Amino acid sequence: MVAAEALAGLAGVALFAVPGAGLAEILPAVRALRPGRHLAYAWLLGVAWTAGMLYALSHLLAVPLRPPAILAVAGAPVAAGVVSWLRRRHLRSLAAPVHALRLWEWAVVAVCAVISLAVLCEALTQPVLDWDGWMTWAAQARYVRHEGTVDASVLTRKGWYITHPWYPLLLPVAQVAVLETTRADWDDPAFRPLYAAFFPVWLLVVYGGARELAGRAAAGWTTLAAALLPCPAFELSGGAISAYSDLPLACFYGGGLALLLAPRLRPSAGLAAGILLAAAALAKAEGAALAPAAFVFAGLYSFSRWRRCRRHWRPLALAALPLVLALVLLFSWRAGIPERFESYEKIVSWSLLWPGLLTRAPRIAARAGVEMKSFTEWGIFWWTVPLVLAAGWRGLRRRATLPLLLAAAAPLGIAWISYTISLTPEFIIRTSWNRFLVQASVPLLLLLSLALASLLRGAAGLSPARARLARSRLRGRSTPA
Amino acid sequence: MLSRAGALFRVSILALFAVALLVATPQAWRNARVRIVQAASRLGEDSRQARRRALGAAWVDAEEEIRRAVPPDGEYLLVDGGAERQGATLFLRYQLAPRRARFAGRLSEVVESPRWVASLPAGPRWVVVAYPGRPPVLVDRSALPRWLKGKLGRR
Repeated sequence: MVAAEALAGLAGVALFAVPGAGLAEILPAVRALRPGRHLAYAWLLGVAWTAGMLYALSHLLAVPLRPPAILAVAGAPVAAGVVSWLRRRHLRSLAAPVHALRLWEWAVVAVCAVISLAVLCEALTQPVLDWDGWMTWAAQARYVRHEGTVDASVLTRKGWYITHPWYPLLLPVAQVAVLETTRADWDDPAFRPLYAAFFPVWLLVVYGGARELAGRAAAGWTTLAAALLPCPAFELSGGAISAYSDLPLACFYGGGLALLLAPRLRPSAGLAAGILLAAAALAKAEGAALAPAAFVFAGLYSFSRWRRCRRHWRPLALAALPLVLALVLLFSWRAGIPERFESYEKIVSWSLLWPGLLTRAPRIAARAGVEMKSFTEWGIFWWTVPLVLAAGWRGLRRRATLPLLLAAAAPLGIAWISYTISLTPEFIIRTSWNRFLVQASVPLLLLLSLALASLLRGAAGLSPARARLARSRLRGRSTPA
Repeated sequence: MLSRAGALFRVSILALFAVALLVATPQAWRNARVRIVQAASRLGEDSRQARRRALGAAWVDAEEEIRRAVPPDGEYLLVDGGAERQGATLFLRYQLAPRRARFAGRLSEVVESPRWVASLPAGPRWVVVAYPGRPPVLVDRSALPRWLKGKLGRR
């Protein structure tokens, strides 16, 4: 690694962090989040805004994906954020109070920092070495960069050899933004730190959501467990060291959902969640199903609290707006992409769907179990999770449990359907099941934190009366947003 | 009595969870340490050198020769010298992008080379053959029948 290239990679991360900070500043609900969570959401908003707007401008208005447009799109929220900050700097800060970390929390922070640093080191020193990066994401980014448009001729005209031409281009556009702004060579993988940054962001999204739902201790243990998992960090087929879109999708999907599950949902939180779900829809093919699903689950949660707060329709409407716009953009862009990946015809058959959903389930479950039992990819995490959820079931008696459970099940449901209709299920499970688990990881880990909180309360030897009191405090607590 | 058993059960599950974290720690440490140490040892190595290290000097030389022959906005015919699942064409297509590829087929499926050459799509002057684990080969379209004859003759 040479200093100039490392700096270019880090500048690529800043290209999204700075506009994200501007967006976080103008959205009061995000501004009021605790520092770590604030940072994570700011970065996700920055990627969603910058890459999403460039995607839309390129497709709808034929704006070239070159530095002037990229810097203008990134600069707009920075300017808005500065104006907002100047206007409110004399006002009393409404940010959440910052609590001093305890010793064990410093240990968790240290572990997360070391693993995030290792992921960044890999990104800065290795070229793209992963299958989907070559096949789809980084290849598409090169074509889009060369032509300066998301409607590149290799995608829109038949005859060219291209894989998954209809896969949404949010992450390739983000790559192009980094490469163009840093004027990187074709060989220079300056975009790789962009993917590495999703790992600490994922940990902060998990920690922030778990802390709101289950308290500090459970959030800390859950985040430590997540950080120590080999697969999300170091797996070449879908981890943070790769150029796969699964971890970014997990962050957008889980992060958007977690914002929508706030007890008192504010309009700006709804808008921020909608921007993240819009990014989820544009990040990967499954995202177009998962993002609306997350919105529906969160909507059901909000309406179950309808009597307490009748104003929930407004934040939900604000969340729906960017999501609907993203879906319109996605389908408009896809309309110009001819179908041509002939191999799909060789590997799937919809006629297998029924009764295959039932008859193939044991075989699929057994093969998925083999993946989850892989020590090098998951340790013994999946052996302990069912036991923790079962033993901590009292902690799952919360309103948020059902939407989280449904959100965790949704990616796995998509996997089940795709394996059922596959003519080569063994191969597809082996190459994709872990990635579906990563997509489902945020809601899954939040459920784990709820169960852990219950177990930790029990272990702390709380009397039933004190436990009830603690529970009622937790239930009554609103997010600082 | 039952509540005590329940409490014991819950504590033992928590202990199991702590064991899972302890078990995961050495592997996480190994994974992290290797990458940090490698990054430190690769200070001063630029992305071009990193590609030579990761992909092999012979492979990168062959790829650079193709890049010189086919301009960035050019096109080429891509032939798979391995099996589909080995993904050699996907890898090479990425390395050569933004040059556009037309897929011409697999060497293993060529039965009669003159007929196969005649059936290739019109247009690109260059044919690139991708191999799994070996450098790619650049062939001028006009020389393809001779090249195939030599290649398939040896098969």
